Amino acid sequence: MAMAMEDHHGTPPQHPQHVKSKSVAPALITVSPGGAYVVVAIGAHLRIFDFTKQSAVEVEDSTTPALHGDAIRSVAFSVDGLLFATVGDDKRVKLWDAKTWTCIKTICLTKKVSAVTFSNDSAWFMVADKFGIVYVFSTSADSVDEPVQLLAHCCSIITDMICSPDGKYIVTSDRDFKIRVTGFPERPLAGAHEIHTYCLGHNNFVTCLAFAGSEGLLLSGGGDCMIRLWEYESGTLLDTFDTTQGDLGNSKEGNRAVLALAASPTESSVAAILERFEGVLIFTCDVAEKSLKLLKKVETPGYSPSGLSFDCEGNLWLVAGAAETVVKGDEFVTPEAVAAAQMQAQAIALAAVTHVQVVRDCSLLDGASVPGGDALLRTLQGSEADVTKVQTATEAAELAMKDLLTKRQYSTEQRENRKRMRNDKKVTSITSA
Amino acid sequence: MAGEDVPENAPAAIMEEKNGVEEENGVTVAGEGETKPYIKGKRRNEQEAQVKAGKQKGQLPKKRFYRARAHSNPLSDCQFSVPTMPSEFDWSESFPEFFSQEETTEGKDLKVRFADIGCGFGGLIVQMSPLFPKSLMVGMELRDKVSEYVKERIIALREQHPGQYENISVLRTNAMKYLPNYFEKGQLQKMFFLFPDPHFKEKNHRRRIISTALLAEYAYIMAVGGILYTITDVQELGEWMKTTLDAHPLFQPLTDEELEKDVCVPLLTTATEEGQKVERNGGSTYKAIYRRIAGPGYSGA
Ligand SMILES: C[S@@+](CC[C@H](N)C(=O)[O-])C[C@H]1O[C@@H](n2cnc3c(N)ncnc32)[C@H](O)[C@@H]1O
Repeated sequence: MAMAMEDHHGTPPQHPQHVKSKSVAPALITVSPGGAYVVVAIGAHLRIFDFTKQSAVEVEDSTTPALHGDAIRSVAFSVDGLLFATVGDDKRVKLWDAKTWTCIKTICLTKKVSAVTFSNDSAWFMVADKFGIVYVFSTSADSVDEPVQLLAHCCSIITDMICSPDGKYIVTSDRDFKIRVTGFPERPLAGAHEIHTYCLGHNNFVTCLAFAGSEGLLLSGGGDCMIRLWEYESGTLLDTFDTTQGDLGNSKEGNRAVLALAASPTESSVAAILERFEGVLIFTCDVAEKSLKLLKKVETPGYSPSGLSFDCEGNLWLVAGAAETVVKGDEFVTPEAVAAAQMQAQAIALAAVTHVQVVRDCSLLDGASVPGGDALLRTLQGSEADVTKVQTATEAAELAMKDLLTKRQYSTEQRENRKRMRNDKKVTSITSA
Repeated sequence: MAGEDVPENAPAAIMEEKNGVEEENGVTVAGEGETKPYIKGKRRNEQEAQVKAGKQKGQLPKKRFYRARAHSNPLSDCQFSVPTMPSEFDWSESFPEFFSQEETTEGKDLKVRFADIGCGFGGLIVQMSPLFPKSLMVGMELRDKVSEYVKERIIALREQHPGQYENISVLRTNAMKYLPNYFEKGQLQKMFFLFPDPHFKEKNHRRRIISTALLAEYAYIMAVGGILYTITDVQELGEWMKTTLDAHPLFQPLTDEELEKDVCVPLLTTATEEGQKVERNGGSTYKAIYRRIAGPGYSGA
């Protein structure tokens, strides 16, 4: 569920006018509550491994617009594991049947979408857009889906959003250092008007939220490099872990924001990943003592995880990777332009390589011991993605782009620039030192 | 907002302006944040020279030295710093008299109870000060120059009338973003929104200071039973504020008798600079005054 920060590349090459700046979207990973599926979201794609069949599953989408047209930014399983939701830069909200992996419905919003989560009873799902508005939708297949505002953080980007395990609250974090605990209403379509409390203490943007156990403890991580433990009924700060302390490899100067948090559904373990950080921090969250203690830093040499998720057996799944987003200018409004951009996003995602690892009992499993083995790694990492498929997709995307560009009569120089950029994009790098 | 109509008959405030940045209430306030000073460069220096030259003890600040842009965008990011949480903010610097006295503990409420949001030149808090001498009240203003003016105005008033105006203060902040950083749950007994910027264009409606989303925040910092006052001379905005408040489950309109009895109601039209302007021009005003009521999730806190 956590949304990671956008990573901007150093110096972008000279762009034609309508292309703003390049950005990348981190790969995300999540394990279904029952443990039947592991899903990696990379760029516009979902890569799904089915443990029952020991094979990859392809999604089916006959809604319009089909699939995603740009990077997926947040994904979530419903608590019962039957539903799955994806949102992203293409402003699309998609609800999937997590057994058949067909798309149940697609809702198009007007702003990029940064976070998604389900209500505890799986009857509702909520999405947050870049203007800080949270919309609520019914998960029923045949509901009318006019966006209904549940709540809003006035004019701040909402970075993460989760419902409390007791179903009483929806918790949202934002760029303006705030964590807000709002009563989850009986009738969500009438809005959530009662703010229960704020958890204030972060001195920079808040990036991620997680619940530890069912004991009413909330965890948050932020741009201040801190991981904080809260009693969310009262908004009391219980404990703070400073990731810049000791010899963890982070420092005030290193200034690595906490990217994402995950709490184990089985034990008191909590895991955190940081920006540009080759490892994962494992904590125990002592509910009785209301404290957060570092157990171990598990190193992942060569890879900085961009996403993490516990499965129901306590294994911690990590993914490292990123895909460039298709940055569109204002002119990208015609159907052809949207289609061309989507083709480009699909080609990027198809070619993107990620790295998946599993931590069990505080140590990294070697490739062969990863549950699902080789078949799983091939599916999720895309390292052996069908070369001809990638090529065809890339060529199709290039052709579509070229058509557009020719129509707009760019100078040859600009066109060359664009081509260069596309070539740069073909293989999306794995984040490594 | 116009720059006239300030009482300029009293002796002067101390106009120490450190270039750009100043310390206010223990918080560093960037002088040149999002609201760019109207006067720059040479003209700005001239202005400062004038201000310094004219500094005579006890004189009220002249509004023409504090002109600012008519509007600023409340959605853009600010340069001023904000307390992380209410307990971090030192109110004793805003209300030195209240906090210095020995008998503070006895029946003295050291929490701010009234907030005037978008206080402009501060007319309302100045008028309310003697009416509620035991209540601390704060004006919140986004525009740097304007809040600076109010600050000087209060200092001058305190000097002119020893022992009075000790219960009012001003803060430069974006009230659309940071109210929970200053006030705890249920702290405020009154909130005022007098002649707020209308933001006519449909696409700018989300900049309006009364909205469903913001009312949730106001309800959070307001005590159950607290009163929220709004007034405008823009009919469309008046209707919008009324409709928005009517639709909100945590607010209920005051009855006519209640409005009749409320001593603040007459001040809405007469106390502020904007209100006076409207009155002079014989314009109509539209009020919407509501009480914060308990919601279904109310825990009695
Ligand atoms: C039209 S004036 C009215 C001033 C005053 N209430 C009066 O009646 O004279 C509106 C004021 O609200 C201020 N304002 C607008 N948005 C604000 C915000 N988000 N936070 C604080 N002040 C704001 C503006 O700077 C302006 O001074």
